[in-house]
Amino acid sequence: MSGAHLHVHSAFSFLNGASMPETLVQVAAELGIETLALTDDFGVSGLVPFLKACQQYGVKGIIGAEVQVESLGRLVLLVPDTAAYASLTRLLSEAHLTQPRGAPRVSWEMLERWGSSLIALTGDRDGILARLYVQRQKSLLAAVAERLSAIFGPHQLFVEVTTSLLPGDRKLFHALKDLADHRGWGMVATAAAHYARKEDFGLYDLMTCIRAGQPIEAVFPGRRMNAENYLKPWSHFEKLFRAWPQVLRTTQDLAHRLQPPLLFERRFRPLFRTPAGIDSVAYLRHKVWRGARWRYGRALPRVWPRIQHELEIIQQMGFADYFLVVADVAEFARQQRIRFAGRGSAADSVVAYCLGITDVDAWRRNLLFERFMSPERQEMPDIDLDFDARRRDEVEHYVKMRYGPEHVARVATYQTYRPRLAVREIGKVMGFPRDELDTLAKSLPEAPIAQLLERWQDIPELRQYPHSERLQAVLRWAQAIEGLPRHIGTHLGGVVISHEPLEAISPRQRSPKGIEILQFDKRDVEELGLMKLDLLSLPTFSAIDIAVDAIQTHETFDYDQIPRQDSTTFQQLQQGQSIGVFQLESPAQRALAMRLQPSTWEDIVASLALIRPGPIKGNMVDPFIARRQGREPVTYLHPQLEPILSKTYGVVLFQEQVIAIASALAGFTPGEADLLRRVMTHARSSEDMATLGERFRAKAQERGISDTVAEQVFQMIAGYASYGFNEAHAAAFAETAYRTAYLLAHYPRQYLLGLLNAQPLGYYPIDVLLVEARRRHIDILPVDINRSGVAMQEEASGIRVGLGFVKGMSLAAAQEIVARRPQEGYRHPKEIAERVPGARPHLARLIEIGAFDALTRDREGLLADVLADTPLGLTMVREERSWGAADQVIADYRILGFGQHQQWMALWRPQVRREGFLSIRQVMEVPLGQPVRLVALFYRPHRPPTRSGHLVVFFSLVDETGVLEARLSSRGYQRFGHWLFGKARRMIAVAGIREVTGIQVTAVAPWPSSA
Amino acid sequence: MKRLEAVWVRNRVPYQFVWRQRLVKIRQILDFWRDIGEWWHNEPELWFWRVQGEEEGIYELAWDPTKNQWWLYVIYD
Repeated sequence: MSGAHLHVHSAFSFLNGASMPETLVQVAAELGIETLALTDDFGVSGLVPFLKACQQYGVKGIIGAEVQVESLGRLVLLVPDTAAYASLTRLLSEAHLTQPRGAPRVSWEMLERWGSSLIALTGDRDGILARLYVQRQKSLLAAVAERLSAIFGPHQLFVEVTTSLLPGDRKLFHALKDLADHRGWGMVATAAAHYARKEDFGLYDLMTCIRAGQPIEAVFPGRRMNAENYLKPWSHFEKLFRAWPQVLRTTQDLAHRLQPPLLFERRFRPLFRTPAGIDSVAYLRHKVWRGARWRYGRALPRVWPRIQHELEIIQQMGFADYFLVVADVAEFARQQRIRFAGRGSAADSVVAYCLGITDVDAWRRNLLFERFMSPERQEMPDIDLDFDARRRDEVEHYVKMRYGPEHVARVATYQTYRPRLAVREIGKVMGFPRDELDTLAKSLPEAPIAQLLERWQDIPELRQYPHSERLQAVLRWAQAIEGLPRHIGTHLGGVVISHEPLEAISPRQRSPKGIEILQFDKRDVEELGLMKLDLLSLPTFSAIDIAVDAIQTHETFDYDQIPRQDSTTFQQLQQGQSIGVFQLESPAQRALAMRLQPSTWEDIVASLALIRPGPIKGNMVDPFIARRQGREPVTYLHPQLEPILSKTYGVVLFQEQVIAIASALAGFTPGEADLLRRVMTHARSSEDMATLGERFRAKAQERGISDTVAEQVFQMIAGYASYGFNEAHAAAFAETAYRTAYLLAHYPRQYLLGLLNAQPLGYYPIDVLLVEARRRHIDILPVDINRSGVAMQEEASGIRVGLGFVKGMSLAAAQEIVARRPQEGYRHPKEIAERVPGARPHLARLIEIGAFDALTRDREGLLADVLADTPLGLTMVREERSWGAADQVIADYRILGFGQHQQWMALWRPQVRREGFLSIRQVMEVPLGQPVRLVALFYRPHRPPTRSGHLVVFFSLVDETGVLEARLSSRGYQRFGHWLFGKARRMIAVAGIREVTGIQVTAVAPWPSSA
Repeated sequence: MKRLEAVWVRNRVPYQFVWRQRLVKIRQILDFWRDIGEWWHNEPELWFWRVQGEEEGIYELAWDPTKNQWWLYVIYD
């Protein structure tokens, strides 16, 4: 291997690089390149996959970044060794945080502060020297050279010449050589690569157009004129610079001098301040003991061996401080009365339960700690906590203050190109009209673009396009960009806490939300040895809190004491009436409940695990229901399976069960068994599975299990390993699912009030929640300028819509209107304008939704008053002109997005009835198997994975009387799919056959037929 | 842009060509670059040489490697 590429951008230059780091490394290895430096724009986000790939391919991986210095030009900075890495991260942090977001800059002072341990290359045509030369700024060029010399000295600064084959290169290179010779600087050659292969140029060029917001036909500064910025073979360098062999020698010498930073062997654990004289292990043991007494009381001696086992593993793996940190966060939330719950595999831990981190009793449920953490799996523990969405930031603030802002930071997330975004952005550059692209993007089924291109003719909403060839061209380019990172964003709640200051580990920058983030995502921070804690927002907890507050104004109520076995709650679930219930409201969950008829806590836990792509594809749902209802016998392949599988009627539903089976039958340690489960889940080839199977059978036979049974059991767990769901997670979610079902059953008004005020959340939009509320005999009272609050609020037997729901009106304006409302109430919109000047632009919309109807129904007159100033500010005497129902409803949907006076379909009911269509309430009364016809609004058409692989469409139908779930067969989808996807259309006529869960659709048409 | 019928090359670098029935010997290569053109319309990449002829004339020659086709792109008077 020989040769080096010391200036290389990856897709982590965000629209300034078209190849992933792994691809760059792979191509470099294929070309026999010995050293590759990743030098993304102002960042090191690609570092982890890059260095991993370098290890894999035997390429020497160097880290660096390209930066803009003042407004002069670019400089490539390379990290020569591990110690210098922190200088780069600090420099990049300063460059980001001292400048407006999205426009980082490096100042001379920053270079002076951090540059002395780094290596600098002077860049390509945009480089700091080349640009000044091209601009003929000779005196400035001399001054810049002087300053660079002072910072980097002769051995750390290299003049860069590139293989870019641009006009003027010869003159430029000679001028740069003169300068280098004069200063005693070395010269190096690079390709200033922005993509791996020459053929990737098209994609890079499209990305450049996206970045600049320019169409592909445009010529603009910064757009490359040729396709020469790829990873070239070293022979190209040798040919191009054959007259300058010293440049090539210097490049190779520098490549040998640079050393890959050793970043993966380090661990940066949080440090918990324990009371003096007590180490963290002893303190954790003490806290767990106290917590265990609280959780288990007299049962503690029976639980303690399990707790000991967990504590030993935690100590062995060095995670005592981490548990103490998380417990401290939970304690803070509890003290502050911030509703929270631990979720995920952490609920497999009894220690987490005793510390109050989770509410699932892992001991009673016999959950396996090793699913969460094991010495065999040297991975960081991952604890996720859900908090009331309104107060989540208080918790993060507490963590920052407790451990110091320099030790705590938010994890990044890379926003990658998904099919819809890819089509929108590529199509725009390629000159497609925005509305056409919007329609196309909306009509794309959820699938990789490659599949869409392959199955174009099978997708009715795609094949309808007249210019399908042009659109397919867009899709082909969109396919090339799919999966590449577009920009860096904020992870929903991932926070890292480290005893070492984070600035030496990762640069920081501001996300689009203005939050300071690291440049690494959740997987990368773990590879870099950081420990992550997920502090997540859960709007459902906000809804619960609002509901509980509302209930407590009427009666004494304790949410935490909700009875576990409430028949009304289960009856409601059995009837599929769970719109609004956490995790159980989707059409699939409601359909499952109507078939499963849940009547126990375990049914809910199982339901949460059953409605997942895996169990559905794996045909687990029907056998589970049949066994649960006693229609199929519950059998076990071996008696030892009974205690493991009895709670799921012999069906393997949970990941923990796979682990337990491998332990019980084949004698794997739980940690080994979890590794087996993971390998099984990800094993792709039949050879891999065969090897695993042999190992399993051999171990099982050692324990006296017959070969046949061992093989059958292996086949069973192998089949379910990839489908299985984490039981601890299901059990944690079941807590909230059941309790919200209880609230809906017993306190529907208060719970729906909570849901409405915690929006956005859940499966259904507000309009559907209002239908559900009315169905439950709760009055929806429209916005009233003198009665509404900012939020929705209880009023008499109903819910009054709040001013905060008016689109486009800021929360502050709504709050002002309420706060400055005179005791006797507002008498005219103009009075609001006088008291709350910021509300003036919203008055017309308030009038249009009837906020002043209680004062006068003359909306036209009020509009005239506020839109045209009358002389002396007087209100003219006039005839009252009230609005018709249609205008009223249209205004509601336009301004609020939902029908506050009545649901949209109520307006059309007389015509719908005349044409012989039924309402949803009437459809529900039709016997099963009978044909029905109805007109309704439709929501959320989707094509989930099915067992057969056919595309079946599910969608919700909504009218003023209720919600109905519809299913359109694969054949029906081919005929009618284009009415459901793509162009915005809301009302449809549907014919179908009544079935238990809704209707099986046989025909779809737009309605009214003239639409 | 005029098509050139006869161009002599050595190691893919031109050293003489015929223009208006006159042989132009290249004294020196002044510059070389490549241009990808409107690739989205399937235009080929062109290789450009700015050369000085022995008679002091400055020419820009373009070569389409896909068709081995030569063009006289510009003549500087």
